[in-house]
Amino acid sequence: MLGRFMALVRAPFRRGALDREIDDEFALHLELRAADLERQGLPRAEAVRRARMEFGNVTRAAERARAVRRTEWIDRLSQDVRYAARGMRRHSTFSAVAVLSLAFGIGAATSVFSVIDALDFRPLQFHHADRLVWLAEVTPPGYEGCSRCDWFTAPPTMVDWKKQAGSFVDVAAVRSDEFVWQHDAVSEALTAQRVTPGFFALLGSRTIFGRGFAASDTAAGAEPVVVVSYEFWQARLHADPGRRRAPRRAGRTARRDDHRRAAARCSIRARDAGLAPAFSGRASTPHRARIGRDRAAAPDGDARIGERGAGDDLEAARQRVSG
Amino acid sequence: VPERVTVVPGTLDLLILRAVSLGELHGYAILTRIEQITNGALQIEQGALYPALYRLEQRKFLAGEWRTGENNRRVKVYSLTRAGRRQLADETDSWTAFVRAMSAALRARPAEG
Repeated sequence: MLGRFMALVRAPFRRGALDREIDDEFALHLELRAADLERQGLPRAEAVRRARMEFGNVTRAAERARAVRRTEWIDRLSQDVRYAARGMRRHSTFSAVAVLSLAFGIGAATSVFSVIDALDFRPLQFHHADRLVWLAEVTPPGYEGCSRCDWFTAPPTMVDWKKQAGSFVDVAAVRSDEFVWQHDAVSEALTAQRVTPGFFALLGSRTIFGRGFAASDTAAGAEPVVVVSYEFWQARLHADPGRRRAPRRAGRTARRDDHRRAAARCSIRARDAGLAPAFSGRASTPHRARIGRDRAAAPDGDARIGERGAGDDLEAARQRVSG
Repeated sequence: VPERVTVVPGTLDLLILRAVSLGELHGYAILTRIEQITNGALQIEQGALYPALYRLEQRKFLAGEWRTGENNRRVKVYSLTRAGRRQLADETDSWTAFVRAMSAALRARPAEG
């Protein structure tokens, strides 16, 4: 079966070899015939001439022979296809399982590739994308369940990085969160990120209406604000720049600032952000790295993004952070 | 020299199978073997032999194999496969039946009455 398959694969490329084989066979034939005729008493030249004459038109014969040999692989292919079809009909369950396995396998590989392509192969569409680094603390080697995995970083650590590691132009933090959006008498869960005020500036993402987050937005008692993506604005807020009702933090319904959050001001982030899926929250709210007050708090679920100074190489930055 | 007749279309394959059934042969030897077993009565267009050989090989009735013969020449030798042997038996049967029917038809005389 494998040999047959290889012959099938090689067939279209074997034309040269085929022609040679046909030529060899014809040449031998003519030679042997001429020798026979010579033995019957004909002179050599005459024998050769007679052999050719008897053979007929050599070129035409070769052409006919080639025509047979060239369609060989088509015949074989159709034989194989018929054989396969018969086999599949006979073992229909087996075939179904095989086909489904292939389908799932190809499907899975394709989706994994799409994700990896988006995350790893396409350059990030941020300005200075080549200078952006992802800062993370990792679990120790051999840590139960997950060795050297990204882990939570306490807010003070991030502030230290920002202050002490001179390698970075700026450091921002992002954390996934869930919000409840109440509108038209329905409550809808939204996935979003809380980010530190410098986040959008760091990624070079503009707001087209309203403003980005300022340091004052993180102060206690500040008016709640939300930045939504261009897509969210277009699709869900009907591109209405005056729309004021905005997503609200989940699980905070009982809090006193509830009414104010419900009326959180919207800013609309420009489409240019082109945020990779990991960052493309549909809504963002300012995020305070709570220093001092919560210094002893449990590790927070923050991921940090820093932008290296132009002159710093990655290794130097890494050493300064871990040092 | 006996008068030579050309082969009836479609019978060349049968002749080739018959010739090869007596032992594996290369192209030219198949031709001489056919002449031999027909006592030279049949005229075969030599150029037509090879397309027929390839066709039979393709249908797996013949197996062709390249060998190095005397004087270091590459020679393609054909032998009969099992399918070829079966085909030869089938074709021989139907040919015999055909010939019998043809002969009977051609010998028939008007009924005496």
